[in-house]
Amino acid sequence: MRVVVIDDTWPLDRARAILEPCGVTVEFNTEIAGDDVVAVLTYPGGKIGVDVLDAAPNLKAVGTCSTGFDHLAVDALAQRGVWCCRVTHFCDIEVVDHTMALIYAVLRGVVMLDGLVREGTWWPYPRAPRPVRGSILGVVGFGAISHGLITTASAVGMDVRVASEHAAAGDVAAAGGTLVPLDDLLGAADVVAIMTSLTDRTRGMIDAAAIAKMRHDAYLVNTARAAIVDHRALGRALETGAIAGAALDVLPVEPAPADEPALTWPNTIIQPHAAWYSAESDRRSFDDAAEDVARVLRGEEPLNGMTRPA
Amino acid sequence: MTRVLILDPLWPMEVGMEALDGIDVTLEKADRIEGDDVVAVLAAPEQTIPANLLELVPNVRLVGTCSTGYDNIPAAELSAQGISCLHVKSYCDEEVAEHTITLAANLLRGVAQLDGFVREGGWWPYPREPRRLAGSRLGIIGFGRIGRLVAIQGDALRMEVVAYDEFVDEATMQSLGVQKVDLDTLLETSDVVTLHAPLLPETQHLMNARRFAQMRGDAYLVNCARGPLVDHAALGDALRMGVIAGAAIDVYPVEPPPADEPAFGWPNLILQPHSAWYSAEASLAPYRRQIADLARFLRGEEPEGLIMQPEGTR
Repeated sequence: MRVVVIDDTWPLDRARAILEPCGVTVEFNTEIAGDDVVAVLTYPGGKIGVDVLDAAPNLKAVGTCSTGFDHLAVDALAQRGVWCCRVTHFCDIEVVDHTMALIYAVLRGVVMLDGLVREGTWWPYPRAPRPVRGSILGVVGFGAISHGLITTASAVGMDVRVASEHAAAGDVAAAGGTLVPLDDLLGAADVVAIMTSLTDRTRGMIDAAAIAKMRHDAYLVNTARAAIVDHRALGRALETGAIAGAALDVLPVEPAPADEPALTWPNTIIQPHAAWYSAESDRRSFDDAAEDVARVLRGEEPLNGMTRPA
Repeated sequence: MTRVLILDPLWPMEVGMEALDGIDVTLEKADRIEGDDVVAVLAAPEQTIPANLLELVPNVRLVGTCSTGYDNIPAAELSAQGISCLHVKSYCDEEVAEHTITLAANLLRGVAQLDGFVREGGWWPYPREPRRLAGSRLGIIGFGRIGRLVAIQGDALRMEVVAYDEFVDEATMQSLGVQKVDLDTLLETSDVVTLHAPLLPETQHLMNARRFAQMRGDAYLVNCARGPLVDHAALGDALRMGVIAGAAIDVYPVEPPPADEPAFGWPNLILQPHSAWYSAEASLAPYRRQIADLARFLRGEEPEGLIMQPEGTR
């Protein structure tokens, strides 16, 4: 029996140490094919549709080293008896830290100012650094990561507003924020941080109309998923100065192709989907996914399985 | 009628003027210091107040600079002649502390470097791995007003904060959640070392080749204080030879840096245009505060930003 790893950055030695006791071999392969393939380890760039079963009919588990799972046909695979497992909370600390770094970066203008000095400009600044304490942070979504962001941002003195369809005002207040309608958040925030997972309900949620409600001096920070924001509308808003700037850790196509329009947008910081990263979280993402797949192969319940197979 | 001369051509004359309501005084911009009716002269750091001021304006009683530093005022000489001297205390502490934390967080998370990396077509693996802020050790050299605000922000970001300052006791530091350490320990153990000491003869080149060598190979330096606290050439060597992982500097030996400033060629360095002090509020605060102090002085009250009382008045 084989476990196929389709991510060539996956540390195979650790996957083997975790999975081989289940009586399987672990190999890197771009092709998922064979009656002996019982599990796949994948990543956000490796889509797994239900058609994977055509070539690997005995598949029992798919593990992804990510929290997002929009690249997996979770329900369709579950109907055919396959567990899809993700990893959760392995990088909560890192995403909060990176999002805070980006919030600080846009408000204080550090990346723009670095470029300015290198071009020989000193003063006056084309875009003025702003205070962090007292600025309004609008957090869209109320999950584990946004909970951490709300707590941290309120600790550094930001006024945190939160929009979420399912959150209770008391829980948001306990985290350090104030629950408000999305339109109020967009109209008030100095920085809007996207912190929700990508679902059918959130896809395109921050569209042209939503962006138009933002302040002209506001920034958008997205460390969640690109498809939550209408990318073209965001580009137009930046190019016309309808908003002040953006910091994007996620793009519609990753890695960014050479013709990615965001590379030419003004006042935009682009990150290579790095918010999740630290040496600690990197190790946990692979190990936690492999361990959940091992649970399925041993006949146990996975810790982070999604839809229960039929 | 009495007059106040404002030597700074860029002084925003509309700011803070309400403080002078009801006081019979006229403020005007001037590039020459003269007039028997002049009671006060206000300047920016770019204008030097001459020591023979009384020969030019015999009835002057007050001079001021709308800055924290006051090396443009011969305060000792003037106060000996019965003239009060003003500066503006701490109008941008909060901004400097926030800018410092911004740079520390951006170094640890690699934000500027990763932005450049994507624009060159890179994606993965990262040229420098982002690190956790939470649990990283922030070492603060100089625990005055700004150093303390940096400590509070670092603590809010769940960093482990240590500080070195000979003149601040352990209990004061502990009350802010900060561990007092000696300079060697701070340099040897910190993920980020940040400077908040005043520039004095004994702090010049506080960071030199020997002290860079004491820092961890994966550590970063932030300097939002004064350029000469760091031996600039030694910083260049430390960056080019990988003695430390990177740095962010808001201050330079010469400002603005000339076109041949060597730092433009150093790796792993974030450069800022002496901007840590800035916010819209902070940019006007010195003028607002100095005008408020002028009003206090003219009403016979004690100004907040007094550098030196004239001799014999108190």
